[in-house]
Amino acid sequence: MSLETALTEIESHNFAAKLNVVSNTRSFFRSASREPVVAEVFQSMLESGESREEVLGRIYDLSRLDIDRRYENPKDAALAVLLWLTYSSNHQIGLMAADLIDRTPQCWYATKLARDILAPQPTATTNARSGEQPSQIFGPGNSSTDMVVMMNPVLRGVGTLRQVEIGKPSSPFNTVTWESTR
Amino acid sequence: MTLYSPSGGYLAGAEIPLATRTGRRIPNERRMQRVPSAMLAARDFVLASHRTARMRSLASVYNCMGMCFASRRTCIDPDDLGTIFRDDDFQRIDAIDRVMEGDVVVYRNPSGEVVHVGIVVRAGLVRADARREIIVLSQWGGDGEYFHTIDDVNPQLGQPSEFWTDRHEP
Repeated sequence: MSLETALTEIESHNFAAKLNVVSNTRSFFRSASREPVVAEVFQSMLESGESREEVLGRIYDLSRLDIDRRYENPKDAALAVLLWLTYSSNHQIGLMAADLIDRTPQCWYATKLARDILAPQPTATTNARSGEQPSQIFGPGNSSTDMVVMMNPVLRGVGTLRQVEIGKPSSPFNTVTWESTR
Repeated sequence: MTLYSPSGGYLAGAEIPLATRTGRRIPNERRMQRVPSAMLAARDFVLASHRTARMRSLASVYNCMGMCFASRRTCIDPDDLGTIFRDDDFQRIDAIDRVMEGDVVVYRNPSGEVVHVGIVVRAGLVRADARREIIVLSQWGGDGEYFHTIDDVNPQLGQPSEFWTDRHEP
């Protein structure tokens, strides 16, 4: 499947329907990770700078489409997934894409991820919600005086993608698997 | 951001005032309606892959939690289910033959996370084979609301794992 064909599929209503069946952001991106077309695009982005540029260009185009203001942005699912792949493949390009999407009207999952990328939320060492693990620790160890910075609430629950083990059968994509980046 | 009037009344914003019976705020966020063509595609996707599913409504402004606990007005994260059950005095049902219409079924993924909830709308024996059949009404994310047999849900919505009720008998 060509990158162009894969991107067209990601922008389709059918693809949005598959991903929108879930009830929160974490599940949305997990669901996306199980879609073969997402794996194909990500693989292409890992292998080629041209593919990364093409995806960023696609994000730019989608973010500028005229939409019916009575409804949610119909490209929300596509923008969310493409942003996630872009950020996972290159953080700098991901930041540019997040900035574009943050200004795109009436998105849902895409806006949540964009703001998560653009505005990490630092907190103190005492976690606001039980069960959360600090995602990044500065200092010599894990003592109570260490500064803990909680960043990217959405990505903390979801992770970004990274090519770690080619062909591992148990991985979601066969070629890539989840890896937290923070 | 949610705006309130000086007297505390709700004016505008993504979150609406919502609280448990004890008064604890329930975080929520209203989602916009998706375009009609997207909702129809969602309906086709659900009905094509789930034999028992029957559509009730094609709205996307609420999710499964919002359907069960917020009168279909907003989205609530399934992570907040435990707080709602605790504050609203829900009890876990220990035997499937005690499940009644109106009870809540909780779906979990293999990791044990709550990923979906629904309301039992029919619980009874099927005469032909004396099998207990449970029909559930639930909102499938932003893809609409469906009646379905308890285990006929999208794999992303997990497996039915337990029943809870707020029924009280004096």
